[in-house]
Parts: sequence; structure tokens; C-alpha cells
Amino acid sequence: MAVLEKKNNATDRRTEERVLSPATDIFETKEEYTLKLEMPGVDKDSLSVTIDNNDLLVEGKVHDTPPSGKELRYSEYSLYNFYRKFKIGSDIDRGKIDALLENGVLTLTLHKLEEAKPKKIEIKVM
Amino acid sequence: MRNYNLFDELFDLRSTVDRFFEDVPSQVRWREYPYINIYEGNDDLEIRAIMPGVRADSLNVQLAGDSLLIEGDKAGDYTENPYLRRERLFGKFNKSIKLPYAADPKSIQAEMKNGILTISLARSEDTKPKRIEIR
Repeated sequence: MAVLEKKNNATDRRTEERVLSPATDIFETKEEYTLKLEMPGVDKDSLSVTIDNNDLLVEGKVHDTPPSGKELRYSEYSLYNFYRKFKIGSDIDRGKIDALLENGVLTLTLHKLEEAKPKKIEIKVM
Repeated sequence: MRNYNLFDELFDLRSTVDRFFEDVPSQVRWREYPYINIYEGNDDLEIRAIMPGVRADSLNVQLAGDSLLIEGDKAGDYTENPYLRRERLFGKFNKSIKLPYAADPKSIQAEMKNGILTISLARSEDTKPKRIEIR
């Protein structure tokens, strides 16, 4: 279970520093929405998932400091901190979001509220 | 509602022309997956490769003299459910990296952490510069 922490300065910080937007897959089932975000170099302690009204904020600080005593000789990538904001609907249970970070991929599970789940309507045969 | 403005297109055209001259083929660097950084120490190297979602047991790292091969399979995790967004890419990959010198195969160490593969290598004894005694 992710600890949800509200941060008001998240949007302000975005304008100051360069950030990367994580590549994301989102799929929907009857019960939930699942998001998979690629955030290499981010560990559990430097990751923050926040819900602010209808915004879901995902932020991750990247740990990719050069090894001591070595110099960068050739480079194909630069990593920056990750930041992405998603709009979420009123059908999502704000208090029940699961987060799992594995191999640099963050999986978020947003559960739908009971009343938003599709219901089977009983048809009575007279 | 957006008003048509002739100047928008003129500026667009200008940036198209600019892009044409900027994207000279020799300057476009096409890189194979995964993207890497190479760090060099006195007689050792550290190579980092970005590969979120790649399992360590699907990787094959091989060293042959001064050439390092990284081979792997980023297995897809698509489900049958409807997708609202699909931005991640999957598949097999292999990349050959030319090292500045031949490395000692016994020195190779690889570690996968948070989707970053780190490979450490030491320079092989035979390729280290030798001081020649002058009689």
C-alpha cells in the first residue's frame, strides 16, 4: 500500500528543473485501473505518489551519480528526475491505491469505488 | 476556437527549414537499445545500461577481448484488457559495445538495480602499457 503524501510544491518545482516523463501503460478492468510507469534509477524511498483532488502525481528522484574515481567517457543517456501528472475520475477510491516498484517499473493499482463498478442486473422471470 | 493566422504557417515553414539543416545525417546518432554510459577509471571501466522492466535472468552479457555484448529479452506484460495508454516498448535486443581496450574476463561483474544494469570490467594485463628496459 502506497503512503500518500500531499505536496503542494510539486507543480512549482516542475518549472524550475528538467524532468523526464515516464513512459506509461494504462489499462482498465471492471474492478480497477492499472498504470505501469518506467522509472529507471528510482528506488522506493525516492518515489512519491500523490493525489490532489483530481490529479494523481507521480514523482521519482533518480539515483545515477557517476562512480567515484571514474570519468564519463561516452554517453547515450542522461537521467533526470521523473514527473508525471494524471487526471483521475470520481470513480476512483482515493484511499486505496496500491504501488509496487520492481526493476525500475512502477505499477499503480487504482481501485474503482463500489458504486462505480459495473453491476449485473437481475432479471426476474415472471 | 483558433483563428487562422498566415504568420503561423510562415514560422512553421521556417522551423521546418531549420530542422532540415540541423538534422544532417552525420549528426543524427541512431542508438541501439539499451542506451549506455561508459565511465573510465585508471585501468577499469563501468558501463551502465538503462533497461527498466528487463529481468536479470533474461540477460546474457558476453565479453570477447575488447567487445562486450549485451543481449536480452524485455518480455511484454500486455493484458487482454482495454488500454487507455500504451507507450512502453518490448522485445528482444542485442547491442555490441566496443571497449577502449581488451578487458580481463575474470574481472567482469554485472549487477541489475532499479532497471539499470551496471557492468564493471578491468583492463587485461596484456594490454596495459609496459615499460621497456633499455640496456
